[in-house]
Amino acid sequence: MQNVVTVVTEEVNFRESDLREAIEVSIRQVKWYDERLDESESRSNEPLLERWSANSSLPPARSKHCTV
Amino acid sequence: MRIKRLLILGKASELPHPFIEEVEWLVSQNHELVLENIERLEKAEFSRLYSEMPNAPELDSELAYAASMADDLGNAANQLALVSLVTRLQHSNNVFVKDVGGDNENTGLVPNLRILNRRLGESPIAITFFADLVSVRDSVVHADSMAEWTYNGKTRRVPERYAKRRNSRNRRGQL
Repeated sequence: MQNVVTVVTEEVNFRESDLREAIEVSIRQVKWYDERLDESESRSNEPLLERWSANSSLPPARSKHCTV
Repeated sequence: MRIKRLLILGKASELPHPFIEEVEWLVSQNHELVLENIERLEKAEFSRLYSEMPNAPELDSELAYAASMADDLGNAANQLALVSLVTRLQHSNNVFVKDVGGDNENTGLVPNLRILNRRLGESPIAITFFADLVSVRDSVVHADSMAEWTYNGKTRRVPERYAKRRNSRNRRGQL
């Protein structure tokens, strides 16, 4: 006769809907900070924009290459 | 500082925030591809079982086992996607903290969110939402995805809504 042992554990249950919510909320959060930074005096893109439009030959295809 | 617009031959092009680009491609798209493959493998296993043991008494239990394996793989894919999301969010917030003149060294996502809220105003999304995601990330990375674990003598736990009880039945020994 076999002895059946039932082990009860509790583990992470992160569903697909949880992931979708986390992604959506995270993007909203990043956009919010990004907009607040634009409104603050601590960030201005104008000098960089001028430099890029006048001198840059780098491809503009992917913005991650444009993070400075 | 981030470039948001490019002037090319007098025409302005809007650039999305790098975080959004990374999440859409490297988190969402990648996660979708993994789930599609899990579903494909599950269907292939079902077909194999139906063709190889159509009338076997153990068919139902074999099908249930295959479905359970697919569920486990899907859950693992969700967890790994979350780890990627939280890591990328942390990096983006580090850049924001630098932008506001803060020192982001040796701090995590939640401390940096507090700094940003102080400097830029209270965000409409509660920090606790992200603290919960961090606890899930930490469980996956450091605690084998257990709902509760101990770190440096301190008990940590994921929120109830991200936890579930699991019964594992193991046959041990003979009587």
